[in-house]
Amino acid sequence: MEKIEELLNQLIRKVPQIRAAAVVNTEGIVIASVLEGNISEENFGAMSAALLGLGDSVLSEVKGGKLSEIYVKGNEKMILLSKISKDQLLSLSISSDAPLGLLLVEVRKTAKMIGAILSEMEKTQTVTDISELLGGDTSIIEGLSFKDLLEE
Amino acid sequence: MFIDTKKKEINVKIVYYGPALSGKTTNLKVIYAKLNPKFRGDLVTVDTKGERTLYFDFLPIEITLAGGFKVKFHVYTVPGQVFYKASRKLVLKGADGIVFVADSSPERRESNIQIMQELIETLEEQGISLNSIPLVIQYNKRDIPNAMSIDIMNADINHLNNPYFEAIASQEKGVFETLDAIVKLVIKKLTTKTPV
Ligand SMILES: Nc1nc2c(ncn2[C@@H]2O[C@H](COP(=O)(O)OP(=O)(O)O)[C@@H](O)[C@H]2O)c(=O)[nH]1
Ligand SMILES: [Mg+2]
Repeated sequence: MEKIEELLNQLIRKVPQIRAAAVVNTEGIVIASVLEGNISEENFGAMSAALLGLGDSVLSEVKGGKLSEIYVKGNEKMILLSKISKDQLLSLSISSDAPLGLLLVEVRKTAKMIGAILSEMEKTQTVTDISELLGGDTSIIEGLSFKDLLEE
Repeated sequence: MFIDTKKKEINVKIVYYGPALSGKTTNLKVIYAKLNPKFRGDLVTVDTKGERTLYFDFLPIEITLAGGFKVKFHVYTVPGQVFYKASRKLVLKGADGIVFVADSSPERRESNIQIMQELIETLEEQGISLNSIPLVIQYNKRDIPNAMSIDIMNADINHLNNPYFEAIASQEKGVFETLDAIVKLVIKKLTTKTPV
């Protein structure tokens, strides 16, 4: 993950108009990110996945083939989604004055490099047993109650 | 689901599914309002001016288990209108657990059955059988005078004898019982099955 965050930082150094960058899976979960303090990682991920879903539906409606990029531009910011693989995408929030040509070139390059890292990780990832991660102690789950976590 | 072993973090997705106006958004609003802000983020509701959900609601919840392991729950609701089947499919993708919120009004009987059928079919399309995914059923709106009996509702939509809860979500009743149940089922599945 650090390697991916380093690539995101490199991208931001090359195109400083990029305000936020995240690698999101198609479930909307953020795998790695470089975000400004006021952006919530969870919301950024959920919105990215929603846009991706919408884009997929629209493309299949017009028989447009596989989705590779989504671009939404406002007068202040634009959102650019670039597909990394079947399951992941690179999601960016950018100020609208960014030079589009440079942006696209750098973003595609970065998406490709991240894709290579992720597929390498998938290959080497060993099977994870969560009960082991929890130290074998699953008793806490039995006693879990959100009623104990309410605001006084 | 996404596990980050370095950060000691498990991300899971829970989807509140069900017919239009059964009380899915109300469940999330109650959770948001009552839960200590330490454990939850902002409730994002993408909707139209009326009370019907156009697209989805989203609420992140985060708890820390023994050994410092963090579990982040990404909780979604789907829009219930027949028209939004495509949205429902999208939101359902990758769900680790499902809460089916059924409406106890007799007029909504057919909608409950129809949307449950759709859920089963959508899961099948995604290669998931109903008995393999954690599922909890909530019978909501128990306060209405002519509410259907639990027996009838179980016979209609609870064919696999999944855990079920009676609720009056608008009065906060049953909301946390339901949430506890789905969260426990999901975590239990994570700890007993070895995901690849
Ligand atoms: N009588 C009654 N009304 C409820 C209950 N729960 C929710 N409602 C109301 O039902 C309507 C639809 O609820 P909402 O949560 O928006 O439904 P959704 O479409 O499933 O998200 C709202 O007016 C709620 O206030 C309940 O337990 N009893
Ligand atoms: Mg709703």
